[in-house]
Amino acid sequence: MKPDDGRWDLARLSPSDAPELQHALDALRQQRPDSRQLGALAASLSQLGISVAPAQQATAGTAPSTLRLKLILGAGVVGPLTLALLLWRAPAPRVPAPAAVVATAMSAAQAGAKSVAASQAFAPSSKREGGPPANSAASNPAPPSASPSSLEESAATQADRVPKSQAGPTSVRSAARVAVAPTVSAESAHSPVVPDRASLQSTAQGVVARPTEIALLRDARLALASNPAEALALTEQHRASFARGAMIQERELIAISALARLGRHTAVLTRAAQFERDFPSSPYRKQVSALAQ
Amino acid sequence: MPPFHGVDERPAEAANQTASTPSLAEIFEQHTPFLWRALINLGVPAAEAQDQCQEIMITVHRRLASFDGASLRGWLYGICVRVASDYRRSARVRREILTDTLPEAADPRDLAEALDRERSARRLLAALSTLDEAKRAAFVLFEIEELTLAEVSEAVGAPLQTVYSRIKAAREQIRRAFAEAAVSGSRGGISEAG
Repeated sequence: MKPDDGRWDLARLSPSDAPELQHALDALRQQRPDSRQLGALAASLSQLGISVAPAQQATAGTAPSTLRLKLILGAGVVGPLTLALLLWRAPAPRVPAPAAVVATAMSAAQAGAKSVAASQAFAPSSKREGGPPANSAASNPAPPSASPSSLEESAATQADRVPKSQAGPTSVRSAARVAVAPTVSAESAHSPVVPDRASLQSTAQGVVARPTEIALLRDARLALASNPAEALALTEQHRASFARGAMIQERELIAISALARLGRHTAVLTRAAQFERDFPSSPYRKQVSALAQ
Repeated sequence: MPPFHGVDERPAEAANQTASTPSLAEIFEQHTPFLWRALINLGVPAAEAQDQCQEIMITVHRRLASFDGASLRGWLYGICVRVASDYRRSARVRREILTDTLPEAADPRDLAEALDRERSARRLLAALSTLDEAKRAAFVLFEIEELTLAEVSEAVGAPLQTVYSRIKAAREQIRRAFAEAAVSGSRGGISEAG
């Protein structure tokens, strides 16, 4: 109905208008994800470095909402389980002191699934060194590494550039599914850095396909601290395989980090300058500049 | 070696946010259940809803800093509609089934009532699946998610009058489907989903 003032308005369907349809509408309105599903979602986002936990827990005298409580409980169960699965799937050379990581994850979940702690527990530096999992990046001279969150953010960044009709980023979708992608072990088990099993997707016939974009960069990130040359090689592999990939910024960040660790300062400067030309508004620009200094 | 800040930096949650912009945690807490539901009503199978909801939250995380504060619901559901649309497009390519089992009833104390509710929900989902994407989105956002016309307009990126027409047309189509099912006297009038 278009009122006289030109504003469009429309009344919603009422029970008297279409009782059976109204009943069905009510049925659909009542559908909700349960606490387990929401907890799993919160945990999976946390693994990507995206915190959806409240910044502060309920203060004294303020009871947490039901949903918040459900999230905490859900993440408390799903988070540690998922992290344990990730640890199980990680290649042997990178397995950290499990107790420290699991304890970190559990304490993070208990504290309301603080994603920073969870994502840093997932990060190779804290795993390998068993160092403090949270808020230690500035004080701890841990080797550089890109985070899952970094990878995701840029995937989203790239996806943002896609026209609206294509926006719901395929790259993000593929990235988000890495953790649950069906996998097989790699042929290159003798390699200094063994690609994570998630890097190689299997077909129904068990034929090994090429690694996904995010999995390749994740392997590069994992290799960064222990074997920067291998990390650099993996970024080159990414360049060859995904010339128009959605995660070019992440690749460059890892490559420049690897070059810095290898002491190739001239290459760092060159590549950092190129990065700043190519991605002037990149969220990683500050990090790249820091590496170039 | 210069410090590396990749782990900690989350641009979308940084200080760019204005006081009026809710945090990601607030959005997750207040809107995720509804976005999840909307995804299913927009044609995403319940089994895929978590993945697609994750995509929504990733996009929200990335774009929250640029949110203009006009209509949060319109903005969120706009992302939701696009994610569902992309999923449906890719699902068609893969020839996947677009609808499947619904989430469990929140409170199945009364089994008969729960079954009746689920049957009604399935009928409506089946009717929704006969709509084209644009009409379905307009109908779902207006009638189920109870957005205002203006919010629907923002979410789907169409003028108000277009949204108005789509909702009216969708209503007619769904009413017809329900009427045909009633005349047939069986569930065969509208093929059951799943």
